[in-house]
Amino acid sequence: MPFGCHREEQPQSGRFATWRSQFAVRVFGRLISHSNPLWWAAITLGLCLFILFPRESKADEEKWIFLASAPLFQPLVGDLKEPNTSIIAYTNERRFEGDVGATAEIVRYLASDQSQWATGIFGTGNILFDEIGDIYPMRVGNWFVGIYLSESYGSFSNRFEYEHESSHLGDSLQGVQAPIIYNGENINFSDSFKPWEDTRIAAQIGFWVNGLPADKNFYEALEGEFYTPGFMLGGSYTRFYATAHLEWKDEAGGILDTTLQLGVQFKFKKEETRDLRVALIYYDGNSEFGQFYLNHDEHVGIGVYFDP
Amino acid sequence: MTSMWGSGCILIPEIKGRFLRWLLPALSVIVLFPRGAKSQEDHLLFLPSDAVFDHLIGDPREPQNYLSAELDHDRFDGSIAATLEFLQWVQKNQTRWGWGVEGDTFIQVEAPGYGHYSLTNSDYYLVLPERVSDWHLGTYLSESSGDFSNRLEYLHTSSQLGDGFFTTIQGFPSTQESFRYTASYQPEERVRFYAGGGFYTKTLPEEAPFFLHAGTELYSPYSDLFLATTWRGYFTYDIQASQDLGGVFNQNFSVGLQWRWKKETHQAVRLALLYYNGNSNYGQFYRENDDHWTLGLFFDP
Repeated sequence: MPFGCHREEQPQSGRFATWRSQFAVRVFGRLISHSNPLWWAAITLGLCLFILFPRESKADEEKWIFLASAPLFQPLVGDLKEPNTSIIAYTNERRFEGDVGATAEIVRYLASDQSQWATGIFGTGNILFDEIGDIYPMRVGNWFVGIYLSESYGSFSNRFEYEHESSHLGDSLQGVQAPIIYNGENINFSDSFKPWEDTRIAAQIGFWVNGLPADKNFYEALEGEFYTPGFMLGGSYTRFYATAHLEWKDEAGGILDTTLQLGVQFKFKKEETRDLRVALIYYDGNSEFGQFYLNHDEHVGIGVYFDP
Repeated sequence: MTSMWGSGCILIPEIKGRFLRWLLPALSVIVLFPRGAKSQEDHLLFLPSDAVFDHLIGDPREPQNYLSAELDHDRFDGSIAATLEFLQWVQKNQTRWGWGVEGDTFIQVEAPGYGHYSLTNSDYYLVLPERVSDWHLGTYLSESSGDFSNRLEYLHTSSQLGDGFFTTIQGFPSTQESFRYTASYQPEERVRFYAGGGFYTKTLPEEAPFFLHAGTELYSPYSDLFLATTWRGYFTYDIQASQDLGGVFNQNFSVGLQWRWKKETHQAVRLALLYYNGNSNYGQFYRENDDHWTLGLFFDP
């Protein structure tokens, strides 16, 4: 059933009440009445920050980093759903894909055994649009928001996420295609192993705890990232890379999505996390955009990525 | 679907020409420019962590990350943004120039508050019908010297009706391309004023092209919090005047708390109460009056 068709039944009394009389009810009512675990997770995170962290000595303060500029668990370069900012031009269709992603690592703890722990939030918006002359009508948009806990020790790093995803049909298809409800919350765990500077392999397993369509339960992914030795080009630290990301989902009867990238990465300094990448991308599987999750999608694109 | 290896391949030079035309020269400039970090000389920085022009926290359409709940409507807003400064030129006299790109996406969802899609329905508790989403993509040139900083932006903006309202509202093409200039004056750490203007080079639906904006940011002194972190209170006021619909004023007030690890870092978390009055910032509803209170949690990168 399309969204919105129940709206005429909506009671009006609360909507038109003055804000003064509704203020407390709305604010506190929203906080305490929801069974939504995302709200509770956010509240718990906030309480941890303000209650559980004691005022410690100067030496202890050096163990904590707040609002770091880059996350402890580096995003998986080969996974198109990781928080990133990019624009991808499909080369075999008149389509573009745009992504805006951000991660805010609230706090990181440096333990005495050299391990590091961190928690934060992330969000990503992905949009797919057509090109018709100078107009770019939107086909679909995906939204991700969630919280994570990550750990790193030596060559290994791990991340546990609680993620909400929703997919929305673009308004260029209004009246052409009925939107479906594609949304939900999943928990996922990623384990990354980086034995050498130029090699990283990672595995991910996720489970949908809620949402529609009901046939999505598990997903698993494997990723490999391989880099050439770096060299200075002009004033930039430059290296080529290749990634392969294979993801199996049990939705739509079981599908395998394959993403391959071949690209070049530019950095100011070798040790920086911020970079600019240009890549040739090959994708084969079902559409990553939930509104079209039943449709096969095979495309090649040229992407420009901005990693914060 | 067109086979990837079939006739679709001929589209490469046709469609992607514009994309590649700016991509290749831009990459050449970014990558090949010689750079150094000698403090006594002019030097270029590639992908610096701090942008030359600090974003305007009082302007609801600046690149920012937030989640907010409207207090007098059953609506939630969210924004995800990224700003990447490619190059920064630092001169001997500490004048800085920056060039980068910015992307921003805004979404508004509306909770029915009852029934099958209710927030309190544990089976579908996060099914919130999307009302509208706006997307911004642009590039900017900025400059900073002493108390003054300036920014010139070129922005592409589009607004999309949310699929939660397909059955009740008819969407329309809403897209703009615009130049916007902002001058900022910050005489001391706790006070900032800014003003500027711009014009649309292309707009759908057609509206008159010029707009103005101005505002201020006022901060309290910093106070210590746990583990050597700091916080301070703030107040902002932002006003934007456009020729849309014969003349519209949009005002945004906010009062809040800003939490930082250290005073000199840019990353911050803010909790704020906001009041907005004017026409909707979302392009699909720009003809509608919008007057609301919001409680928001902001994450500044």
